[in-house]
Amino acid sequence: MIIVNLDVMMAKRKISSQELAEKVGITQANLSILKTGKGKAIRFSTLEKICEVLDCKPGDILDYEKEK
Amino acid sequence: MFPKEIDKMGHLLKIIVIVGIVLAIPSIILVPFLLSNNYSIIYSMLIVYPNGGLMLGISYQFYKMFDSLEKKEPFTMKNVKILQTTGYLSFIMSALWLLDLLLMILVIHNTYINYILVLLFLMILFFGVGIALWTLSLLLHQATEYKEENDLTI
Repeated sequence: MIIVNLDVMMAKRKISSQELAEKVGITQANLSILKTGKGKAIRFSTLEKICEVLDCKPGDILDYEKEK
Repeated sequence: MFPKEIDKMGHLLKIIVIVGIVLAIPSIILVPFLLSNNYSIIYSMLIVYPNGGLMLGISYQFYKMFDSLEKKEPFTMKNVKILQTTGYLSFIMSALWLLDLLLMILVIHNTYINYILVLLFLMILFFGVGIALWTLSLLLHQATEYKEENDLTI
């Protein structure tokens, strides 16, 4: 399963949800869906913007773990 | 369909359900007395009445569906369930018409061909409607899943 480590990266960059949502151009509700892992998919454009704002790579935000 | 038409359909179904209930109660009591000469039809009433109830149930299910259309949320699991339920009700109605047909031919020995043909037609009709509703519920189920996936794509 895909693990979203967005909150870890946000903590490292010391950026709030509101600020990130504004800079990426998505709503806070959608960012919350992404952070909590409830999202079903992420657009490349959104991922690109998140990486741009957080100055990181997609692998820093997304991780894969085998389901037990 | 435009919102006004949806609203009109919703009202029409509401009227059908209410009038159906109002007419069903006195007719349950009166019709057997009015048809007291024709025993075969009275026996048939044992099937007709439950089917009338099931038909009202189907109308009520569709009425509930119009609520979600008014809210502009057509792709919901609630609607899938409604279509499944109406499909089941239709299959039950078809089975009851078959039972009526068998009752007419085997037990009551009513060989009045028009009546037999009507029963046969009703049986096939409701079986077809059941299949159509069941297929629609599966389609709506898939559409709802796709919509949920799309909504949760950030």
